[in-house]
Amino acid sequence: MRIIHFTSLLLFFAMYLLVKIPGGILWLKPWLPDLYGMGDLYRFSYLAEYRDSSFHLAPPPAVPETNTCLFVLGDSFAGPFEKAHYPGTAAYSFVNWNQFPNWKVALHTDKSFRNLFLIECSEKHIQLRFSDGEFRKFLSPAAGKGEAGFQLEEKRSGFSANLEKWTGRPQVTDQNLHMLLFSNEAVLQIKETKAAMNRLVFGRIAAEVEEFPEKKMLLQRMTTDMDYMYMSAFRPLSKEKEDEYVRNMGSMVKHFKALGVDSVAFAFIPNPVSVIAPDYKNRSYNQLIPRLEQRISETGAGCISVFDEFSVKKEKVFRRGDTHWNVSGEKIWLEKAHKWLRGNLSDMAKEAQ
Amino acid sequence: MLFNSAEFLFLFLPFCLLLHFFLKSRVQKALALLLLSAWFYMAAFPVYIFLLLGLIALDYGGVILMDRCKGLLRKFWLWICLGSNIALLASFKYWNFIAENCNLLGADLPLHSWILPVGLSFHTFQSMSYVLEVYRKAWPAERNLLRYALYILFFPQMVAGPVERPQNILPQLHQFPPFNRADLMEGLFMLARGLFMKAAVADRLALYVNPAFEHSARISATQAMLAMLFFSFQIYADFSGYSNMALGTARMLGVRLMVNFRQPYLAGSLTDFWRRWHISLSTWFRDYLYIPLGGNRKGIFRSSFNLLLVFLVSGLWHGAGWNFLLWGLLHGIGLVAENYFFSDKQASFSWLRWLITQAWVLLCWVFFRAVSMENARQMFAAVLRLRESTYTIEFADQEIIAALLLCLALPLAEYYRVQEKAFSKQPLASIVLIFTAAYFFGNFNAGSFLYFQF
Repeated sequence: MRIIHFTSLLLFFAMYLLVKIPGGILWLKPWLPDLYGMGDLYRFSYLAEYRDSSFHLAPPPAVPETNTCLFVLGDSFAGPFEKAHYPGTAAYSFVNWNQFPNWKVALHTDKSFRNLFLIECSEKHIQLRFSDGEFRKFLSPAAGKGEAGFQLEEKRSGFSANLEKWTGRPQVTDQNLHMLLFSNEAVLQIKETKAAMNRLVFGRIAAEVEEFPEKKMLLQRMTTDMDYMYMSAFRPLSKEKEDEYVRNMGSMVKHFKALGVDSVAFAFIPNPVSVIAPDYKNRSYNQLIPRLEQRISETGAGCISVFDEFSVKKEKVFRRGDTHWNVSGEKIWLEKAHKWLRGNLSDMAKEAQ
Repeated sequence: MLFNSAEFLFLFLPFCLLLHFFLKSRVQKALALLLLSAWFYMAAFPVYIFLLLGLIALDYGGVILMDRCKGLLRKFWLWICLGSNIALLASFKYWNFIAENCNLLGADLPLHSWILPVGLSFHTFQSMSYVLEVYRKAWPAERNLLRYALYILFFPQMVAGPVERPQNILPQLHQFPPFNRADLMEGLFMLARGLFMKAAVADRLALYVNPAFEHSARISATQAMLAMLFFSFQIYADFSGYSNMALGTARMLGVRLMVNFRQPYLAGSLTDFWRRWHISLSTWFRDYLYIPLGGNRKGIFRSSFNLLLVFLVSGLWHGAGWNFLLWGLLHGIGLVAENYFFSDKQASFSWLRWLITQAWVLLCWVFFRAVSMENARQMFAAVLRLRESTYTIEFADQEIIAALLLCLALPLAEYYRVQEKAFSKQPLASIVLIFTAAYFFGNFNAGSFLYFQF
């Protein structure tokens, strides 16, 4: 009996370590179900009909490398792509906005190489990232030496931060624990029953999402609710704010060009609601992306725009229980990105002549 | 770490219980519990553990020195201990409030942005209770540092009470009964009840109350009245839920904490209400402030003054803001009026008096919940001006009806002791049923307990 208790004590201790140690849960990741993959909005709501699996577009056939280096500052939209998705690039490097301020960019120093910088941003984050107070955070310094790409520095943390990393962070611990214990199929069934019951009896679903029954999809509330100052697609956007974002985008372009980047492009990925239902619940879309894209030439950068095509294809390019695009959406975006890359290659060729 | 978090329910608590079962020696148990309590405390802002340990060391040493002295020197040590607790509380909790108000009068005092240590008001009051009891020679100074540290740090009640007395808890920490199945079942039952109150009642009602107070300038009279009613049940369910979970957790470890709530919304007078609401704090103020000030022994004027002062301090204890002060003052005024017009000894239960009492309590809660005086004013204005709503609170009609029925059923279920009767007949089934109901009807995204901010 004592052995059983001792073993269970050890088991709990080991489990505690797994969820508490920074990165501990990652050791088990291959054996755990991918809750994010089932849909980030499904993960909030647990409404069974919106559960699906994530698939990413397979890379196109390889082509011979050219003297181009592609640097992408982006988020979870461009994040899953790899070098193979951008055929012909000699070097490819991706950094997430969230990784500031610990990144530096090392450009290819060989003059025969062209350094291309792509700034990808989902619509709900545009107003935050390009506002006066924020955009300077992302003006990374140039790295001294090294292979071309983004270089991430390990943040040196003080005693207090280290203590917190090992003992605190209750939200991270809870998240890890949910991943470890409550993401298996049996528990998901219980969660889905609870969600279905609450919707049926009280008409209530998770606060983070809104159901869009006409399109049989979930929408992220912060993009549809006008109370969200920066993220809402329906909160009116003043001309002053538009000017501010364009000005700051221009400053970013100047900064990266001063570091040695040859060409910069912006890519704004629309919220599903902005293209599927710009008149959602009789509100009117603030036209953030079209307004900024129209003025991109003022910043000295290029533009990879998917807005018009997404507006035509609507829900066909998005996942039903997720804020992200599906394979069709990825395909459209990659085609546009390839076109921009090819344009740069032909510019190179012209310059060489 | 929150009692309603997965970390607590599925890792920390089972681990503690296993250790409690596994360890046989009392010293080992106390040491393990102390380390686990420190770990529990460090889940929020770990670095503050050093502050707390410093305070524990100071009070422990100061009280031993005080115990050895007589006369002025005894008083000196008393004030060193009390002063350090009060200074800590004042610097973290009240400095900004004082400075902001002085600055309005022309001073130029700096403000700080320190995060308030979790449970500061609770454990400083518990420390002061120990210091005062030893000073009064009502309890001997604790020589065992481990036990004294556990008296302050004991995790079930460290962050939001009950504010314990040394007489109740220190002897239990000396004895530590062995693991006991009856304690485990009763503790689980209390934990389940607490979880239900927190998740299925308080955090559910919060879904109506929070947007109503946030948009107080746009809501209708009906919405404002519903929000006021729901908040009075939200705060009760939140705090009594927490207390039940604390009591249940401690019980599973073989420790019996003092009861903190006794059906306060059935109280027929304000005096009665304060005998039933947050009992550990009310009795603290009674024993260490009201009675030393003279209590009700020095005539009606002095006792009225004492009451007002005690409730002002109680308001301030809850939060550094004018709304909390007003909340305390209004309760003080209510009690003074009650003492003047009614004699509590002669009073038998009257529905009219119950109604007046509960209406007063409910109105006072508006100041407690409001984020500012302006917020409170807008809530009352919404009711008085009978305006139309320009804001939709996402709370379906059937959910409102269910919430109203819950507000009615809750006091009745407590009065008729429905859950206790079910537990005495079918303990395990009751526990499972309450946990299941808490899960299926509970809102687990609401975050912290309301009283954690104090």
